[in-house]
Amino acid sequence: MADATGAIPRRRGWQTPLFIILRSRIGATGVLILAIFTAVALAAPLIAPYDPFQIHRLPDNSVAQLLPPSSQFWLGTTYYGRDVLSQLIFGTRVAMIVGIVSAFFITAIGTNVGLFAGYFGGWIDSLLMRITDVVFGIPFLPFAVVLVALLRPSLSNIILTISCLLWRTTARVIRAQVLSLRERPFIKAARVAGASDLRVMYVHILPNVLPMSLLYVSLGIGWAVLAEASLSFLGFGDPSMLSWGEILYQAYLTGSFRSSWWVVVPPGICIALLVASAFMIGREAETIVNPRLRDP
Amino acid sequence: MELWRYIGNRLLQTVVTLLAVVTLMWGMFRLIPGDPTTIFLGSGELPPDALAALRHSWGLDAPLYQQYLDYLRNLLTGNLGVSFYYRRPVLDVLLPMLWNTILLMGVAMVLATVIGVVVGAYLGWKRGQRIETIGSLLVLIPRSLPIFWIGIMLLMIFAYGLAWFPIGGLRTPAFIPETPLQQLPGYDLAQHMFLPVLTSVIYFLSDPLMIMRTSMLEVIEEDFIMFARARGLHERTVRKMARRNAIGPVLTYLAIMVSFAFGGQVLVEVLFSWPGMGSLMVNSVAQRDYPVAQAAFFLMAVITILLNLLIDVLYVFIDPRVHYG
Amino acid sequence: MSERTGLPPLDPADVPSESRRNILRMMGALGLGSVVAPGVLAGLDASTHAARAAVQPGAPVEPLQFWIPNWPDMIEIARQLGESWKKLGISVQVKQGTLDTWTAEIIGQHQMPHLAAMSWGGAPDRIDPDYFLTEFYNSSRLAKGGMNYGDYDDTKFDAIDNKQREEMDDKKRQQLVFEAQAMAAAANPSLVLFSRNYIQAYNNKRFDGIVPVTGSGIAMPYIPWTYYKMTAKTSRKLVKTTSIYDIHTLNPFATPEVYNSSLLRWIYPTFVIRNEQWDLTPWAAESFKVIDPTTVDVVIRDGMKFHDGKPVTVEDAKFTFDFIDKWKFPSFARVTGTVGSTEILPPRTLRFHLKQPNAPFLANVLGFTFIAPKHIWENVASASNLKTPADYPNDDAVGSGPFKLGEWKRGEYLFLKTNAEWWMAPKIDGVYWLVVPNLENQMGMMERGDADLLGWYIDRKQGDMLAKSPDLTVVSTPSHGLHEIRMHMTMAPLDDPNLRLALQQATDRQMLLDLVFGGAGVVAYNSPIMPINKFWSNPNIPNPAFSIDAARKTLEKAGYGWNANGDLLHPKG
Repeated sequence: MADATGAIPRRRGWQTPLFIILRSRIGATGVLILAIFTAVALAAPLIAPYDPFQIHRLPDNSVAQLLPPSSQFWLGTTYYGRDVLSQLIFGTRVAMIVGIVSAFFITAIGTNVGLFAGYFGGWIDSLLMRITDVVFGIPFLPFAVVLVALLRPSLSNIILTISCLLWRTTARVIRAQVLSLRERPFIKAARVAGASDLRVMYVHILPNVLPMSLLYVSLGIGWAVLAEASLSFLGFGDPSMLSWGEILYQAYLTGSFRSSWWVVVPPGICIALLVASAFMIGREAETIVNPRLRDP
Repeated sequence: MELWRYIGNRLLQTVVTLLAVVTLMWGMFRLIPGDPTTIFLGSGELPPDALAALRHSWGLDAPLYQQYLDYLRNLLTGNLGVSFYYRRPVLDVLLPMLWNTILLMGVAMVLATVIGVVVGAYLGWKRGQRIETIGSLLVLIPRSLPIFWIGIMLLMIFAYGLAWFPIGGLRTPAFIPETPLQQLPGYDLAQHMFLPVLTSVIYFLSDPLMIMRTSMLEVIEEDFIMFARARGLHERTVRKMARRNAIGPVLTYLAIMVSFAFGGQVLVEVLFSWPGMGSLMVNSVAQRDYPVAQAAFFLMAVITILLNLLIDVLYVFIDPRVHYG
Repeated sequence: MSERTGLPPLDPADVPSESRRNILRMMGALGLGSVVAPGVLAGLDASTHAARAAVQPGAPVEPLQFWIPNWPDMIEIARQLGESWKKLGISVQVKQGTLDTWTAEIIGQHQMPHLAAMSWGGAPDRIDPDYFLTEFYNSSRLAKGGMNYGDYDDTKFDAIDNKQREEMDDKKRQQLVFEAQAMAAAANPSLVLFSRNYIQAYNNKRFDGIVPVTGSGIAMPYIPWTYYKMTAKTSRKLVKTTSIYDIHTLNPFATPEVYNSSLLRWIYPTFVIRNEQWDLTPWAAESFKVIDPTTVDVVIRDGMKFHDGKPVTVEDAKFTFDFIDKWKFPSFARVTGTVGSTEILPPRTLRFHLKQPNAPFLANVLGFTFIAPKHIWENVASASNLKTPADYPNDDAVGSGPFKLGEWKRGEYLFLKTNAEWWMAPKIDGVYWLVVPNLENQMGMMERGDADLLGWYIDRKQGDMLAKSPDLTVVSTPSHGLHEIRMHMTMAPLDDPNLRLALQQATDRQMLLDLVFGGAGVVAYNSPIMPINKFWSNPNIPNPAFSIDAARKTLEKAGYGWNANGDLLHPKG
């Protein structure tokens, strides 16, 4: 795929990354699922049958706690009498926001660190890689627990936490790529022609690592959604934002598992679908980077 | 010489990294509002001057740099300090929990890696065939599910529903074996371990599996496989050769897996009331028990970083193509 | 009424938070803090006190900041109150965090915004009215670490409160306690909501004779009368109770919190104990008598033996108080604060000379202190290198009580064996306290028969679920604990008593109780002393009836107005 100068030419038509992803069934499914979730997230107030925070009451004015699925509440109600389906729909918003914003930051930070480390080498590389090592050496969830305890549980703090820690893999991988690209003729040519370091990095190298970055954007969405669900389950989520993890956490706290599958199963399935779609896209994106993985 | 310089360099960098992690965690704990006396607030048992006296006796009102230096000095001499919450040496508190976690995590990781490698190699080998596509898709499922949800499902089905396994904990207190099966040594422990281990295995196995598969796909393209086949070697032998060569990346991944396993452990331990390091970590943060929290983090970081170092160095021996970079 | 305005004085000894800010400044200088620091600083400052800007007449009332622990019940309550108060034109901003952070900031640092909610458990030393009245409202608790974080400061209240503490005659004391409650109620320092019942369950096929204790339910260790009276129906006489907590030390002199210290009192019996009707009953003591306001005689029971066989004597009792006085253990501050000296009157009487008359002495000192074995503790400090005996691990805890230490597996369970030699030996063989930190698992274990008693509290719906099992009986016991929302009386706009009254009137307590706890509880009076505490609770100070109209009228009369949006506006001058 690389031409004589070692650059990867811009592809046209049916070879663009998006099309490569869509061409395979897996990739297409992933994109479809992601698109559906995006649509649900955007249209939430229109689709959801009820306000997710509305407490429903029975005719005798008691709270409609833990009602099984019925025609009135398609997925039943929670412990506090709220409609599960509406919570799931609005929870999509939180999942998409956390996923996309975190994935963006993870990739932005990771790619930049990888670029600088790989391109400059020397002490900058050592320093950045040691910082990456430090971040690698810290187990995510325990550290996230500490950070959220410090910053108070809120959606922005959770995104911050996830972004602060999960950029590490991206950085390492991008760095490796930059290291190999650095020696290619077209980069050397650019430098000889007098291009500044920044220009070489961002105009010449970056487009070639972009496919890899995109792969990690998509993986990042998956990691972020899982991370937020885990944090919520431990009680560090943002209770004013009903994320899917938060739904599970409240079910857990109120001891609803044993009796009410409708509060437990749907959020898990939603998380799995969203994360799986991100990983599916990631898997196909991987074939762009590593053509040997592509289906024959 | 190159090699020794590389190893020496890496060792030095490891020490610096550890120091950075330790300092970072130390700083973070000090930043969190509250201190070890916080748990005694709100009960009205301690009037404010008693609190001050307590803080003083625990050295909490010394200037911060002093506390930091004391901590470092103790750490270097292997003294992990005394737990504020338990009033005992941290090691006394940490070690039993550490064994419990290693038991659970170790068994799960070994099982997950073995299963992952075998299945991943198989899928890679059967490239392009139906079974490979289906297999790869199926693997996505456990990878996309939150680990605690897997645990919850298993609990709901096997513990709450069928009652085949206990709901949590490490053992049954005052266990009286009734049937001959129950009289087997380790029965009670095994029964309690089954669901948490199963949960962890399901969650951990997708990454080694996918890495092995990918690696296998790359190795299959290598020339030496083609030559082996041309020499007429049995397919199974060729596959074994491929596997042995493909396993490298999985080993590299192991270091990451450990770090990632520690996190997953927290959720599994909380869900199954397993008294291990994960729950100790979360609780010690809530209790502001700095020595224990710091030691737990330190331990996890040491294990992860040392494993990374070990694997990096080992890799140099395994794969001579690697730079001493 | 003297109410301070403006900022609470900065405590110069406030080293921890000062250093914290220094670290942040340093990080900021290094550029490292760019990501973390703003969040941290925002978090720190967002919860800091007094509104700095002067209140503008006629301007909209600022949103009320409400700090709650991140529990579902609190989140619900905050949400509902936000909706109720919106009808008055008041908006509420809820900040929530974990309990430890709440405690550290609100109680530890008094970084109190406008409102802070908390639920207080029904521990045994809170039965005496001194606890809530003094801790919540006395000016001596205004310092950081004290529980008067709402800044209620009234010298007249202090006078009555201090007087009730020293009144040894119950009837006279009751009048003073009633007066103190009425005085505080008039100032509306807190929105006292209700007390929730402790709903618990036990396995009726295995155990019988279950006696519920107000404030402790049937399974909690605080007033363990249930365990002394229950009988086994099957051959297994060992009881398995589930618990959210684990203890953290076996040393009764260390600084444990209520759960730990209560369990240790099973091994180290106190002089007196409350029975299921809350009457003070002689326990390690045989009898006690108030000679004069500062002198109390306690006769030690005859024939008691420590768990290692040695006899319990009055010398051991005196030793215990001398020991406490010598080492000034922080958790025994109440003892060193009240007991001046002790004197042995042979053969078995210990005479206490109090520093000043102290009414809660019988319940909260004699009901809290125990008899420690002199032959073990007198050598502890010198034998090991410990700075204080409170650091002694005490792994072979030797007491004299109805239970002996069986086994403690940290993080898993605590096993207490029955001591058959105790004068009122329990009829069971022992109790396993199983550490099960989550409620779902506890309920599952009860249903499967893996546990016999549920040692935490569940609520109505969960109770109904458990009741479906024929093996389980669900018991609902009232408690003297409370849910309350403290108001920051020195922080505008809550420094206006009319606004506080309006908030009282706009709070629908019954609705909240029904919603959050299924109605299993008792709505409170305008006092932290709950109606269930019949003798001490003043029934003449009910909370105002819920009425948004009445609340609006109160505000109108005080000069508040509303703009076109419905927002509440400050009075015009």
